[in-house]
Amino acid sequence: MLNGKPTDGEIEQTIRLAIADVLRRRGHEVPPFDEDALLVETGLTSLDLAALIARLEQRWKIDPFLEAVPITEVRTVADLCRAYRDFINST
Amino acid sequence: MGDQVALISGGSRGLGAAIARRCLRAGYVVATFSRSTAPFVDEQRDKDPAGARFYWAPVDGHDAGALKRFVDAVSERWGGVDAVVNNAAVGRFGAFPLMRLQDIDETLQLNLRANLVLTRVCVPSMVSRGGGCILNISSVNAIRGNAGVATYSATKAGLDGFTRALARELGPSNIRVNSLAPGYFQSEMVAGLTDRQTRTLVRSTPLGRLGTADEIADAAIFLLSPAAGFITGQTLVVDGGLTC
Repeated sequence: MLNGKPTDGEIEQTIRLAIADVLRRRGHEVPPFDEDALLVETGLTSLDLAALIARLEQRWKIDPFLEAVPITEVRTVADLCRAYRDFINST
Repeated sequence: MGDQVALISGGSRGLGAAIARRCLRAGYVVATFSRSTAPFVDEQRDKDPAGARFYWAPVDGHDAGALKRFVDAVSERWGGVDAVVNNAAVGRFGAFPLMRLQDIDETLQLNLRANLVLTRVCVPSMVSRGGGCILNISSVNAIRGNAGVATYSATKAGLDGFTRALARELGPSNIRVNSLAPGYFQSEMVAGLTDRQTRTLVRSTPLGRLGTADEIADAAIFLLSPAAGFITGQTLVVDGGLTC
């Protein structure tokens, strides 16, 4: 579990950096994206999303999609940030 | 690169212990769990008290949270998981129309749900690490109909379907997924058969004998190894020819 809760801004910043890192590791360019961008528009595939969730789990020791949130509800960067924010704030 | 990490469910006895022993011999570090300890576990912990290459913990497969905590502990210890062997299973046999609902639930929970949950908690980090291998221990009963094993057969056939679908899904992430379907081999499950049933099985088997757990474990090691690097989505039947 979390040692000290990250702020909302830190959550968003960490997720944005992790998205960029996953894309770069796959040799993709990182397009500019805001929080309303669809995840698919950033170039992330569903398996990239799995890698992203693993990376965020390493960082925060949580996986909101294991029980709390259906991944099908996450379409945008903002949805993803909200899922983590809500889960972290509920723990 | 460090040693490959194999996580084996139900690796304290029987086929699971045979696979764990073979994995250790092949150079893997091995993490396994079961509800209670067994002579194989005690032997390994005596040899390796610091748990450098062998880690066991008591986990009940019904408990998804405990499965997750076990995987987290393995990742903490060795950095992740390279191979998952979904071996844990229970056999509740008997005429289906007379089977207790509790026995149906128990078989579905352990043979199917627990293995799917274990895979679910391992796969994200395998994708993140760039590859891995999943081996589901099925059964010839998933392939041929036999009286008295309907629920068990349903769970094993379910694992085979899971294998094929997951192989499609995870292939692009360099994760291979296969099933191994043992025939009848010397084990606690076969020990419950009558002499007459055993003789009938042996007569039906072209190789004229029951298998051994080590023979099944050898096939498991093959499917985990780079020698099987282009095999995914398949069910390998190891049954002395029983189903041919």
